[in-house]
Amino acid sequence: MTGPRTHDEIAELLGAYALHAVDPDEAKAVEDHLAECPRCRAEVADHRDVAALLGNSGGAAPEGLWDRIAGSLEEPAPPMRLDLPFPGSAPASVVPLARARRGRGRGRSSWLPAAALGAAAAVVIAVLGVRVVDQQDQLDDMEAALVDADLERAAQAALVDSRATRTTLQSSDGDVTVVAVLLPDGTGYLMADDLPDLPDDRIYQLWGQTEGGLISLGVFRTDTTVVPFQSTGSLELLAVTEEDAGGVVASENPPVVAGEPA
Amino acid sequence: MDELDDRELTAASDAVLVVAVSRYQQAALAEAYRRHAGAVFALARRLLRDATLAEEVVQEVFLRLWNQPEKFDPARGSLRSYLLAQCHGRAVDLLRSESSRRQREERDVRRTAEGGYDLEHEVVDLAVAERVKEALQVLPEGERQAIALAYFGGHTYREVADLLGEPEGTVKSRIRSGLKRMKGELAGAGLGGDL
Repeated sequence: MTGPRTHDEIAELLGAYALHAVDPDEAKAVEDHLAECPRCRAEVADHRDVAALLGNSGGAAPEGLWDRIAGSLEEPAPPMRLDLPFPGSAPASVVPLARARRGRGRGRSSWLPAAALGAAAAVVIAVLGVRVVDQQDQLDDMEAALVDADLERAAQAALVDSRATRTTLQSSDGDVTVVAVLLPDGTGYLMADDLPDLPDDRIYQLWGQTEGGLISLGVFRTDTTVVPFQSTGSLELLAVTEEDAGGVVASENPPVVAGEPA
Repeated sequence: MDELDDRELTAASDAVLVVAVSRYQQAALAEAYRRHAGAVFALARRLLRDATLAEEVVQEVFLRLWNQPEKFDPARGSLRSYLLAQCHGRAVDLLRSESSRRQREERDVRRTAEGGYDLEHEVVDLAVAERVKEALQVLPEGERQAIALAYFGGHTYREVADLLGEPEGTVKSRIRSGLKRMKGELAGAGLGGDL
């Protein structure tokens, strides 16, 4: 049967369609119709429920299958969590950059910078003779820049948020000053741009004084501009120390900067 | 929504689990798997008669839930129904693929010789089997056969018509009327789609 079908002709197919027992062209015709017809959609849902009861049985899935599924979900998460609640933007717009998920996520994370890179890299290579291996670095930089842009937007929004608590962290000699802002939900941002540069094998570590003691809020590299962090309780003090790459559980170093929330 | 801890995950409804899955919470997918993977696997294996292929289908179904959680619409049925429908669709695709066609034809010949399908014996879940069995018993033989060959055999209604030597239109109508009749019976028995 070809050509447009009437509602009744489609309706006759719904049972077979729900059981995946129609030919591809019929399936397509039914799906087109379902998009416009709530009554037929409801009927298919009913049929699927009955089918599910027929197909529903006990028993366990094979051993080890979950491990294989879990193992194929995605690459490891980046060192810092970026799927924090971002004021003024849906988390979904940020998360895919941080966590490469197949489907929707992948498109955002790599397509955008890659397209921009195409033209830019061609010019760079032709004019400056830059080695091709630099492309990947540049791609990484551009992805990082996009993440930073999101973060900075979120941090700026937090800075002007009237509910936020501001902390000024200073060095003991008063030469270095950075600002952190903490929202009522425990999301915080440290504007780390003005911290002194560190050698490659050193990192900064952010600490928070809570009722339970001094806890690590995360580590960050010297070129980081905004450090997101999450606190579960109120913070009486914020401090930044300099540590060996990887960070420490408890620091014995004096703080580079420290400050109490205003 | 903050991440759910283990206790909250265990207590969460399927719909809440899927929301957590959409927030990239792997533990929520693990919980959905714990609840439904057994049934998904059993259906895939029953259709494909091959444990390895069935495992692949289970993997695809749960990866799809992870990658496209928004495809599940709680307003249109339970998660179990949705996952089983996904599983059924994928298993049927595999059955119909060229590579397995020949094998399947041979199997069908053998099955016909053994007396064909017995739908009542295909439904094994103890909790609902009785009710489903009762609902099946009210179906006329023609409807029961058509549904069994389509659903558990993975045949199109045209193939079912061929197998049974009935007109295509008749088989198409029987599948639909049989499903409607069962829906009525199961709703009367308090099993109307609520798995």
